[in-house]
Amino acid sequence: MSGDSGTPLPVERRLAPSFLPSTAVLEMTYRCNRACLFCSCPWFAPGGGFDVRPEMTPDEWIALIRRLCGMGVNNLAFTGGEPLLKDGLADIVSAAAACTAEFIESENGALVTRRGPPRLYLLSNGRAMGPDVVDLCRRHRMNLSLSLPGLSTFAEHTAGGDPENVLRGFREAHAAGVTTTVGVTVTRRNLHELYETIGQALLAGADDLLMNRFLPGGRGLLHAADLSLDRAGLVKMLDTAEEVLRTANRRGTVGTELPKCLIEEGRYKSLVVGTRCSAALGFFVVDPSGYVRVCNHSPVRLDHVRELERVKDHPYWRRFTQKDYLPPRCGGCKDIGGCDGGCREAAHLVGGRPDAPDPLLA
Amino acid sequence: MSCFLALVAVAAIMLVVLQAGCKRQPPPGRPAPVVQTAPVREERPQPPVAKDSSGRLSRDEVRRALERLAESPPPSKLSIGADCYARIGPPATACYVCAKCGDRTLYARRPTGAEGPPEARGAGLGLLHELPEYRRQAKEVRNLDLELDESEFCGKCRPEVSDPQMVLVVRYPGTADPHRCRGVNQEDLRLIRAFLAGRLEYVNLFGEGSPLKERMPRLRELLGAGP
Repeated sequence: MSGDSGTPLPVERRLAPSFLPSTAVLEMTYRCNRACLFCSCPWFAPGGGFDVRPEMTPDEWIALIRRLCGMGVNNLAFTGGEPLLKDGLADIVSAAAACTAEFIESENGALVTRRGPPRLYLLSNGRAMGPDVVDLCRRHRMNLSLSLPGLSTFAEHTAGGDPENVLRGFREAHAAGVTTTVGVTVTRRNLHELYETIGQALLAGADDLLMNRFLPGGRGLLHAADLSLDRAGLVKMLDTAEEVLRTANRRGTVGTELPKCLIEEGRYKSLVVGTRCSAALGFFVVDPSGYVRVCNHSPVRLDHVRELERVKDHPYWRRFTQKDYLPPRCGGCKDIGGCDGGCREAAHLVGGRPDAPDPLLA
Repeated sequence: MSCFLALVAVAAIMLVVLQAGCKRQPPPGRPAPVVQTAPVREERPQPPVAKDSSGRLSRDEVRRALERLAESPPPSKLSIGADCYARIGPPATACYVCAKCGDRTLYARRPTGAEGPPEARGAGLGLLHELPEYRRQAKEVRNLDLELDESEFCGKCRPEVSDPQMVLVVRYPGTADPHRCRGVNQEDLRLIRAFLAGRLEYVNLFGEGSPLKERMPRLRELLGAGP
C-alpha cells in the first residue's frame, strides 16, 4: 500500500469488533422542556413525517448498551430530546459506566487494545440541571455538554429560557470537577454576540467549545430563512470563535463539517474545523424507539436494534459508509480526500438528496 | 484579672481539644485512613462583574477577563464531542469499511513525527479517504470495461494480504482472463481518463500539465497493453 507520494503505508491492521462505529449517540427520549427554534430533532419537523413511537424502557436501553459495548462501541452520548427528562436515566448511565468496552488504538505504528468502561457524555439544554445531575456526571466521569445559543438572544432561541441557568450549570459542574463543553449553535440572530456567548461560558468554567452553524432540520426547517448563516456569516463565526479561544488560551471544535473550499487553510489555530462527515463511520444514532439512524440530523430510520445486524446492509447505511454521496460538482476537486462537500444530511433535507450541495453552496 | 486569665486559659484548652478532634489520629498500629477528596481543579480568576446597570458584561470586560483566564493552564484532558460532531484530536485508527461485506478493518496510524508526508503518517488515510474519488473516477470511464478491486483492504475478505493495495481490473472482449494491475493511485486513474478521452495532455491533481506520451510506459502497465 502506498500513498500518493509512493511512501509505503503501515499495514498493521485487524478486523473491528463489529460493523458499528465506536460512538453511539443515544436519544433517550422524544420529550423536551424547551422549544428551540434551531432544534434539528426530526420528530419536531413540520408535517409529522417522522412519527413518534413508543420509547424504549430503561431496561431495554441497558440491555442495548451492554450489547453495544460488546460490539466495539466505546463512546456513549446521552442526548434527546432532553435526556434529563428520561425516567431512569441515572440507572441507565450507571449501568453504562459498569460496562467494559474495547479501545483499539494506534501506538507507535501498532494497534493496541485496552479494556475499560466506555466514555460517557451527557448533552443537555441545562434547564433541568441540578446537584443530582452534577453528581451523576462526577460519579461516572461523564462529560457534560450544555447548550448556550446566545445570551441576550437566549430567550428567543429557546422560547423563554434564561442563559444564567446554563452558566450556573457550568459553575457548579466545574466546582465538582466535572469536565464540560459549551455547545453553541450559531444563527444569524445570535452571531453578533458570539464572542460574549463563548467568553461567558469559558469564564463560567466550560472546558472547551463545540460550535455548530445552524443547519436546517427538525423544527429549524420552519426558521431556516431567518437563522441560516450565509458565507460571510460563516467566516465571521469562525473568526470570532478563533479570537475568543485564542484570547482565553482554550480550544474548540466546529462539529458539523464545512466545505473545505470555504475555509482559509491555516487560518484557525485554536479552533479545529471539521470537513469530513463521520455519520455511520465515526458514530451512529439510536432514536428513542430503538431505530438506528446514520446521524442525529437524519430523518431516515433504518432498522430497529432488535435487528441490528441488518443495518450493515441497509442501502442508506452503505451510502454513508462508502461516502457515496459526494456532490457531482465536487468531482475532481483536489481537496476531495479531506472533504465531503459539507453536511450531507443538511444537503438531503434542503436539496432532497444526500449528494445535493450543502446549503452554504446551494 | 485572674477571672479573665482563667477564661483565656479555658478558651485555649478548648481550642486545642477542638483542633485535636478535627485531626483525629489513628490508634497506634493502624494505618491512617485514606481520605477521598474531590479532584483538584486548576485555579480560575474570579468571575468578572459588569459595571453597567444591566448586569451584562461588555465585550471589553469579557476580553479582559478572558486574558486573565488565559494565564491559567488549559484543561489537560479535553473532552470528545459525540453527536454529529467531530472529535477533538485525530481518530485512534484509520478505518476501511468493505464495499462488499460491510465489515470494518482498522489500520494503525503512525506516530506524529514519523518519517514521510502527513498522508503517509496517517496509515492509509491518504488513500482510504480518497476511495470515494477513486470510485467516482472509475465510474466515469465508459469506453473500457474497468473496475477497481478494493478487497485487499478488507481484513475479512482478504485476511492473507500483508501489503494491501488498490487493484485495477480491465476486461477486454474475447479475453478470458482480465488484466490486473496492483498499486493504482488517483493519478493513474486521471491518466487513463485523459488517454481514453483522446487528449494529448495529461493534467495532474495539482493542475500541472505534461504531454501524455511521456506517460506511455505507465499507461501500458495499467492497461496491460504493452508490447
